[in-house]
Amino acid sequence: MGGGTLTGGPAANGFSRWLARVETGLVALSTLAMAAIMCIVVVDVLMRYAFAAPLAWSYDLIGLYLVSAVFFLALPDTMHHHGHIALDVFAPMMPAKLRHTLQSLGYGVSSALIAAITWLEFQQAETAFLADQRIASVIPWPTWIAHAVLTVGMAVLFLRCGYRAVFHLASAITGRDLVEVPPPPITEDNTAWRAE
Amino acid sequence: MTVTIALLVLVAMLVAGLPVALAMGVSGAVGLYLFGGWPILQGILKTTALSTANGYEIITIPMFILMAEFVIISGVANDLFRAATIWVGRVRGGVAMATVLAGAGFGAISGSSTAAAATLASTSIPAMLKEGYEPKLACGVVAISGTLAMLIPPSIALILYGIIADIPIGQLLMGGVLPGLLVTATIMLTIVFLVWRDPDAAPAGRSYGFAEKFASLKRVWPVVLLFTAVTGTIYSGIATPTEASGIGAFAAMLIAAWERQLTLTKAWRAMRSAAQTTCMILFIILGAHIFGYFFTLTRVTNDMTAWVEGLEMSRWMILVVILLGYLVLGFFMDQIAILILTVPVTLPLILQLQFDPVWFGVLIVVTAEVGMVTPPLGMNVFVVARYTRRPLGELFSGVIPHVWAHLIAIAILAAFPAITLWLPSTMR
Repeated sequence: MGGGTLTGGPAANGFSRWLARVETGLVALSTLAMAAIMCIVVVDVLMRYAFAAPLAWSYDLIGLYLVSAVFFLALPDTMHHHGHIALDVFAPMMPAKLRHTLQSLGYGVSSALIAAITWLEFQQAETAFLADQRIASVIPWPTWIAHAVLTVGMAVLFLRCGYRAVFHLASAITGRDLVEVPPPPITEDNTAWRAE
Repeated sequence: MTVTIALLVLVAMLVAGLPVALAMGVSGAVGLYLFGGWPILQGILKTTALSTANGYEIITIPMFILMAEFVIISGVANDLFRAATIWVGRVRGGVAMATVLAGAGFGAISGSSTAAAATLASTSIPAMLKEGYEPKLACGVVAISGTLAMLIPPSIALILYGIIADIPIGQLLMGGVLPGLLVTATIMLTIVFLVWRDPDAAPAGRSYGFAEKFASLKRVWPVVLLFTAVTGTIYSGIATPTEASGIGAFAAMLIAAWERQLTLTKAWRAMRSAAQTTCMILFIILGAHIFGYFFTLTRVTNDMTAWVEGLEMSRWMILVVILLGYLVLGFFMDQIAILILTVPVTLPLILQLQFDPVWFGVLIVVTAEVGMVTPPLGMNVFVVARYTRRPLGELFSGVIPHVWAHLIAIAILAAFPAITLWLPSTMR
């Protein structure tokens, strides 16, 4: 196989670089949501025990919006950095062309599944927005925001998976690595390790 | 035929190195499409994605992981590990045993098995490799020690089981204490055996005086503080487990700041890492949900239960079959998904056989622990691999002796229910 191996670090091309910037922006929002959950929970407990006045809105805000934001907005960034666990036992043993072809197929059908989820969620977000659907609670939070957060995260994940399907196929055809692949595991001779 | 096709798709995608979550989601979706066409698949896809992350209780996952990230920044885990090393590091394999004790200690301040494995991987593996430990032994010990967090309170798995089975969570948590200690001892005895068989795998460490030993305990106070912030608030009823996880993350952040280790860059890295790890777990749960719906609609789970019920054998043999089923499911499915999918089916059977539900809950959680370290979906091994970048084959082979030892521990817990039930019986 010719060409160097592109790992999860530098982007393989301009599109991947542009996508990575979008993904970093989304994961920043995800971490903000995580920090918000932590702070709201602490304030809620403090208010309940110190002032007997718990936050009436915390349960719904966290359950409806913030957990979704933490999860779905971090999805594409995690995919970009190969953070989603995968079996790396068999793939390295395969010839490069076969591996790229199988991964192109796999990411292709995955893209179709993610596209279906994205489209269905977009429809639900649109319906909920137009009908002004809200939860039945002390504060009637609108439900379209949760669907919209999911739609955005899944849409960018679709782009990342679609990109991988296309560029794994290109790699299989050209015989060169044109897409980022997971960093190789270290060997017996190299005990350097890296914590992320 | 449909089940066969779906399983083939699952295996093909896993072998090709696709993310496990995508493999489960796609194979489940293919199976659902073949089973009921687009209407069925559409109905499930519409609800599954959002329901995976739509709930207050799920915050225990990001919060406990975030707590672990802040603990890593603070260096508290290093101190816990260092203190354990000072106390038991002198003997051959002592650093590995210290890892187990640190794992048990970390389990007492975290309910997340993967977070425990991640923390131990980042602290103890470099130390063991530096001491000249065989990497296989070092990584195997870390992966198996991470599972202690699933048993020692607060345990997310036991809490989840309590919610599903409608059993008092306090009793379940107390029921996990002695089995947790038994499993800790089992792992340590396995290390003793491995080192006895191959002394080159683990060197002896240096010895410490009593002054150094007691001085090392002074650095363990943050662990006591975190233990109080998490388990203490749950036991006392001050906070629910979900609230306690948020408090724990906040307390860990304060400890990191107190230790002057918390910078903006480190905080950003910790939170991004916590978000990515949370995302990785929830994505698998999402995939497992889609796959689980397929299993449920095609009645694979029900057929299995009916088959077990129809067997003419003693209730103990049926229990063995059920535990074997959990063992096999653990090879392929996420532990949380297994609990969600199977407990509603197996618990009535267990109650019908007049077994104790608290004891059964602890048993299946210990059995599910095995799945955390066995291929192809051993989550803890993946986490250790992610942190250390070592080959998965090496890690899995390092954990195999512990798997056999674990099976013996499960047999002891099954044969002597009192080990699990004595402590809950003393509760008022």
